[in-house]
Parts: sequence; structure tokens; C-alpha cells
Amino acid sequence: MRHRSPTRELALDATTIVVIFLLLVPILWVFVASVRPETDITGGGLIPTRFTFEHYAAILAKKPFLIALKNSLIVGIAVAVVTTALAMPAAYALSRFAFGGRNFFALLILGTQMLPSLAVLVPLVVIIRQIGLTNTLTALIFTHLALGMPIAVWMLKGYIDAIPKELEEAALIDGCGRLGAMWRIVVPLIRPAIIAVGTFAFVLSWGEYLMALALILKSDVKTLPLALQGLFDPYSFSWGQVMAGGTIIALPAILLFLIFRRQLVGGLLAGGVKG
Amino acid sequence: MRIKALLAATALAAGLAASPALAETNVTFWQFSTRDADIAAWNDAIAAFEKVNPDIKVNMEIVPWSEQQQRLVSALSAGGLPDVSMLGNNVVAQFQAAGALAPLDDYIAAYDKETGDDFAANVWPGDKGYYNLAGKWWASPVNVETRALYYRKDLFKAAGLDPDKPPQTWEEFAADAKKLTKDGVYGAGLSMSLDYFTVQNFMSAYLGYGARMLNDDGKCGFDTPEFKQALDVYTSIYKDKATHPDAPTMNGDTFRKGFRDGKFAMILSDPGLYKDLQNDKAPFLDEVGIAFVPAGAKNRSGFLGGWPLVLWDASENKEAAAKWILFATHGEALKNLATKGGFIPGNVALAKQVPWTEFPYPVFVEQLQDAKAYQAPSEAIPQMGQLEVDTIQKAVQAVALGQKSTDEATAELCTAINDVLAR
Amino acid sequence: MAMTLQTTRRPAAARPRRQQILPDRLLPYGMIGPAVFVAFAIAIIPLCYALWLSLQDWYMLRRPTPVWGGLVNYRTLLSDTALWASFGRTWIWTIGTVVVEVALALPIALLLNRESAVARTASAVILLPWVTPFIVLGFGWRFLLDSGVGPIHALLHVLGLAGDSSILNDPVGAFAMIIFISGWKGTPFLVIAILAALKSIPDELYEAAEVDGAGPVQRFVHVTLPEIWNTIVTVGLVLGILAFYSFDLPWIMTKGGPQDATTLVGIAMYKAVFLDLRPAYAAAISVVMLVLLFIASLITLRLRRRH
Repeated sequence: MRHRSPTRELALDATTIVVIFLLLVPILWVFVASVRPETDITGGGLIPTRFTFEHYAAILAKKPFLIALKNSLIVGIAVAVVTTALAMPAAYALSRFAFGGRNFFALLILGTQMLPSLAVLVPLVVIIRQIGLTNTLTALIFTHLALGMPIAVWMLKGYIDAIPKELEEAALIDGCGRLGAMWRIVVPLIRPAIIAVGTFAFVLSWGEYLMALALILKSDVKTLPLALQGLFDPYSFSWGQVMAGGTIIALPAILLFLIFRRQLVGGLLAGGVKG
Repeated sequence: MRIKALLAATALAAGLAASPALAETNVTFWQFSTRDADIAAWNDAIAAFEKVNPDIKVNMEIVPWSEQQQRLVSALSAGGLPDVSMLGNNVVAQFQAAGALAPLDDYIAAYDKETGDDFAANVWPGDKGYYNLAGKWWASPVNVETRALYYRKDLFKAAGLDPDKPPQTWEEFAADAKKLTKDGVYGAGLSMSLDYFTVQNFMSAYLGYGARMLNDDGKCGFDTPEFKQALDVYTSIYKDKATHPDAPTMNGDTFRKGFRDGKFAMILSDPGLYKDLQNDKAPFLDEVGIAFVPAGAKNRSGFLGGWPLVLWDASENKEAAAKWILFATHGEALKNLATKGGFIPGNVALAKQVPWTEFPYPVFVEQLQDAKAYQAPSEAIPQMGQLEVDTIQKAVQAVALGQKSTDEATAELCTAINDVLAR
Repeated sequence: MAMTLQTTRRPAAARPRRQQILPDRLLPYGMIGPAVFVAFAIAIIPLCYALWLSLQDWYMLRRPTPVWGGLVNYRTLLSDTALWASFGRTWIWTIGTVVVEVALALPIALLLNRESAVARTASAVILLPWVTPFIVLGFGWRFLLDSGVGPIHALLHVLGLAGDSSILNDPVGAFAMIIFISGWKGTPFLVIAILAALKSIPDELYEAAEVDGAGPVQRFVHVTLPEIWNTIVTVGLVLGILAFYSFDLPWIMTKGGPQDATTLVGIAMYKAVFLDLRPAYAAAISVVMLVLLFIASLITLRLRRRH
């Protein structure tokens, strides 16, 4: 990795492209299907000959879909931010401090992951109905926190564990509080992990269906998975529209990640444990 | 001046006291179709209803079909049921047994008196089994649906079969399907998978051969030679390779799409398929014929689908809700809904009028007289919703794939059904 | 390891006392507090409800409201052979999924751990399987496996893995296939996680190994692998837990068939609640599953190495 011969780089690039292509074949099919006329999708063979954007036009014309897109974005971003904000200090505490009940809390948080949504559904819905928060995005955001937080805490703890304590001790001697040490030393070092964890929380929330189904009924508060379900009429649904819907759902997540992946790469050069 | 003002004030006060309080009752209505045409038609019906009943406001929520069972059960456990909703005809008994529905008899009596109509006489005979339970009415039909045999006359000719003589019995159907399988086309789009589509087709076979799901003692009645015969004839179509090789795992809509793409020579389907073919501008549209569903050795039985509107017991506005139900399921409102939605109305008198006198509806309307419920001739049971999901389909799939013999599959089917009934 | 320390310019004595939000003793609790609160609200309270519900007798078709049932659900559970069969399948599914994920993610992460434009774009694009909703993926894969027109079916046919009809017709083949799809879907996240770990391995370790004369394979085994091992275990555990309760994928691809060959615990629970209307029984199932999953997680966590 330290010697960069151009041919080696080219070969690796080519291999990467082939591997990614193979991995994404089903996705490619979905995308290609979304721009073909309806009858071509199942009847027209593999290689597309005709193209059309009618499916996208049809979906984007449906106001509920656009509203659902907006709602999902709001919920997803909020969940990603709050999850990371809660998980980071928790992970730091678990990693750096020895305090009473440490293992208990750690396992408690992990255990949250192990309850199936289905078991949690009814009591949560009852509680949320009592508080009067049904059909609100707030309730959904709070519920989705449970999806990513345990993983976030455990993953971040793992990355923090790998950072030598000496780095913070130096900062502490300097007079930083522990929080300051965390913010100034640890966070920059594990930025890629934080991005990864935030992405994870976002994606889990983005695709979450069951809780959204239980908590949200009104069209103006629906999220994308619910809107997508609406495209499936048992008697005649359009494959093209479903594929277009799927593409519309997948793309924003990718775009958001593209924006943040600089952090994934950039973080280490800046704060790496190098000279 | 002061006296005039005083008089005016008194008049005003008297006027206010005399006018009825315009308190609005809100009725929540869960509607299951997501199609634009249906939604528009329902909005029209609501507007028409609100015009005649200015003190009632109907709030329609769109709950897609695929979610309805989950939403209803969640609402049943955690709260949040609507006042009125659509409901699959096969689960009406389920929710009625759970005590979740309210009977409609009183409201029906009032409605009949007011309009001179006869509610009961206009319900299709098969629907009575679904909606009249324990002597009371629990639902008012909106849509009724059955399947007929779509076939390609051009493909019949090419296979040397008479295009004006579609198969009349299941045995003829199987034989024709075999002959029609050539040149990349399969004779029949017949499902063998765990999808609902399978039992919707297969029930014509087992009922046609005289098998019944429940005995008079309420236990599984399938363990009979008649059922096994039906099962054999049905699965022979797969074994003879007269249908798609993936039939044991394909979805119902894949079959439908397959017919529209010209992959199948015959298929059992609903009137909506013809509309789809018209929208597709299918090149073979003029060669599509529609005939009755194949008969078995004993009778001809069609699938009975459809859905009604129901009144939920949790509703606090039952009277207003019932008014909406009866309004929407009769007269102009229903005619409009059915025309725009392209379905046959659940009202016998209405279905005999235009536009259901034009092709392709007459065949379906006539077949509705022979359409029966899965458990015919027994009454609807609450467990039907559970049984309909995959019990019968598992037997069909096992035999088609050769994983079980007909006898084994039938025995296991009855064990499974009896287990569910015993819970 | 050379490190630049921030040298203080002001004498220590003149520095004001640093501000504390919380005394050091309470700080960890304050930091972990919010997360614990969320866990409590979203998991503990519902868990208590689920425990209570599992002790009720509530078959909605016979009773509109629950009635005390004691251990009746647990007794039914113990004798429910179909459930235990699905439970066994679920373990195979979970382990299979994680194996596929690790097998795919590790080489891909290594491949993407470079500084080229291609590698950077690839690391973003690779997320696609993970962000595309199951329903859409399900239809995509069904098409690819269609025996008439599916290209992947053609490939499987050539390899002798599928006969003339779709692999989904064969109980073992269908199960293996959807395990692969399940692993395929989760791979992107593991790739990202491993990439993050790879990027934090200091170059010096590699340089030192090279100086010692280690070839690429030895560098991988002695430098890379130990550093990313914990990440693999932790994220693998998390992905495993996610996979354990899978419902959408098997339901959409095969509806649990053929003949229950792909019926997992997630499907059994869904059926119990929504189709059979037995919420108390479903609650009992989730309690038992929770306990078993917890034990399995504890065992897995022991696989991590101490730093």
C-alpha cells in the first residue's frame, strides 16, 4: 500500500468496479426496470430497448409520496443526530470509567436490541396513545431511537476502546475536563465510526415499517415505507412504479452518505495517530 | 331607538334559541383502495352523503389493503379503531366472533322503512353466508367478485381446438391446457403457491367435485375421495407441465401479469383483468374469450370475493356511521363507486342494470349465482381468516412439487385444520 | 510514536479552575443517563408488558379481553413442534447470514481501503442493497430467479444448483438462497464498519511489519486482522440480532414456504399476532426468544479480544 505503481492501482480499480457491479446486479435491475415501459419489464427480455420516465412522473405526481419523502427525511436525520448524540457520551462513559452498575447498563442497552418490534408494538402504542402523540413524527423519532442506539453505543465503545488512554491523559493534564477531552481528542479520532453509526441509525429509521404502521395513519404524517406499501394494490399494481418508488427511496440515503463520506475518509488524515 | 335595538336583540336571541344546534358528528372511515379512481369515487360519495346529511362529516383515511389486517388487529389491541371501515368478506366472522363489530339490524330496519327498499333481498346468496351470522346482519356489501375463465381463441385455433368450445369441466381444462402448451406459451396460468390466488382457483375444483371443508360436526371434512380427486386433477396441470414451472412459488399478480404479457393461454380471473387488457392495448384483445369457470363432477362453483362496510363496536357515533354505511352501499352512491372502480356491486338489483349488462360483465354476474364461500355449505367460521392463509395452499403445493402424496397431504391438511379449530 | 503535545504557555497557577458540569463521580451516570432512559422507556416498560401479557390467556376469537392464564402459553410453547422447528431454522438463518456478511464484507473492505476516486465512490454506492426497501428487493430478486427470464436462475442452472424450475421451489435451495440474499443485504454495513476500523490502523504498524520482512498475507494476519477483529465480532453480533427476527425477506420471497421450509421465528410471531389473533402466545414466544438471544450474545461477546 505504500508503493503506488500505476498498473497496480489500475488493476485494483478495475477489480473494484467489477466486484461492485456484481454485488449491485439486483439493484441495477430494479433501477433499469424503473425506466422501462410496463410491458417490457416482464415481457421484454434483459436488454432494455425502450425507455420512459412515466413511472417516476406518476409517482412524483402523487402528493402523498412527496410528503412521505419529506417526513422520512425529517425523521431519519433527527434519529441519526439524536442517536449519535446520546450514544457518544454513553460509549465514552462505558469505555473510560469504572463505575458501579457499568456492566448492567451496558447489557441493558444491548438488550434493547434483542426485543422484536412486534413484542414492543402494542405497549408502545398504548403509551403513545395515552400521551396523545399518535400520528406525530415526534413519537416515531423517539421510537426509532431504540433501533440504532444499542448498536451505536456498542460500536462506538469498541472504537473508543482502541484509542490509547494516554492521549486524553495528556489533555487532562493540560486542564481539559473529561468532556473536553472527549470532544477534543476522542471525537475527531473516531469520526469515521461516528459517521458509520449515524448512517446506520438513519438507514434503520428510513426503512422502518412496523412502528410507522402502528403509530401513523394520517397521510400527511406518513413515512416512505408506508407510502410505498400504498402502491401495492392487490389487483393491478405497476411493477414500474414500484421499482421507481424503490429507487426514489434508496437514492436520498446514498446522496446523504456521499455528502458525509468525506468525513469517513478525511477524519483519519487529520486526527490520525500519526506524527 | 333603544326600543328598536332591544326588539332587534330579542329577535336575534329568539332566532338563535330556535335554530337547531349545528353540532357536527364526525365519522372516521377507513378505506382500503389506493387507486386514484377509487379514491375519487369515494370522495364523490362522501360529498353526496354530506349534502343530504349536513350534520355529519365523514373523514376518510386511506389504509391500503396489504396493511388492513395489521392495522385492525393493532387497533383492536391498543385502541384506535375507526367508526366504519371496509373489511375482507372472509374475516367478518373473525372480527364478529371477537366481539369487535356492531350489528346493523336496527339501522337496516329504519333504512328499509325510510326508502321502501329491501336490504336482505338485494344481498347476493353467497354473501348471506358471510355477512349474516347468528341471525343478525354484521356488514353491508359493497363489492362482490368472482372468477371466470379467460381464454385465447387464437391460441385455441393454433392448437387445433375449437375456439367456441372452451373447456367445461376441470378434466377438459387439464387436457386443453396440455395441448395449448407450446411455442413458449403455457396452457394455463394456474397457481400452486402459498399465495391466496391458489385457493381462490382451487376452491372451484374441490367444491365442484363435491368436497366440503367442514363436516356437519364442525370438524375438517376434506378427508374424502372427492377432495382427493379434485386435488389430483388440479395438480396434474402442474405435473403435466401445462403451467409455468415456477407456479408453486409465484405470486398471484405475476400470473395476472403473465396473461397480459401473452404467456398463458388460459387463466381464471376477475372482470378487472379485461379492463387491464384494454388499458394495455393488448394485441390479442379481440381474441380473448370469457367463459364460466370449469365445473367439477358434481357442480359448478365459483369463487366468491368481495368486501362490505362494517360498523365497529368501539364507535361512539353508531347512528351517524350506520347512515353512512347504508347510504354508500345502495342507490346512486354504490352505482357510482362500482362504475368508477370497475367492480360489480354487491347489490343484486343494481348488478342487473347498465353498465353490468355489457361485456365482459354478464358472464360474471350470471356466475355469481353459483359463487360460494370456501366453507360452503357450512356457515362462516371465525377461524376462516387463519385457515385461508396457507393451510389448503400447503396441500396443493406439496402435491404439485411431489413432496407429498395426495393422501398424505390431505391427512396433514385435516390435522392442521382441526388443530386451528380446537384452539 | 511521536506526538506533539500542546504546550501550555500560561503558568498553571494562573489558570482558572476548570468548570465542571458534574462532579467526577456522577459524570459517567450523567453521560450514560439519556441512553439508559431511552432503553428503559422503549425496552423495559414494553418488556414488562410483554411478560405480563405472556401470562394471560387471550385468544381474541374467544375472548375480547385477556384473562389470567398463568403458564398456559409457555406450556403450549414447549409442545409446539412447528415453533421449535422454526426456531432451529432461525439459528441456521442467523449464523448463515452473518457468515455470508463476513465472507463478502472483509475482502470488499480490504479492496476499498484505498485512496482512489473509484474506491471512494464505491464505498458510497455499496450502501445500495442496504438502503433499498425489502419489498422492492424482494421483487427484484424474484425476477432474477424466475426460471423463464431470470439471469441469476440461468447462472444457477449452469452451476447445477437449480433445475428447470426456480430454486425457490426446492425447500433446501430456497432456504440457502434467501440466506444468501439476507447476507447480501447486510454486507454493506459491515463493509463500512470494517473500513472505519481499517482506517484507524496506524501506518507505522504496517511499516514495522514490512521492515521485519512480512509479506502481504502475514501482514494481514498479524496486523490487520487483530485490529479489526473486535469490530467484526461486535458488528457481526448486531447484524445477527437484526437478522434473527427477520420477517420481511422470507415472507416476501417465499411466504415461509415451500412447506414451512423458510418459516422463521419472525414469521411465526407475525402469524400468531395478526392472523391467529393470539397476542398472549406471541408475547410468550418473544420472552423465550429474548432469553435465548441474550445468552447467545453473552457467549459471542466473549469472542472479543481484550486490548
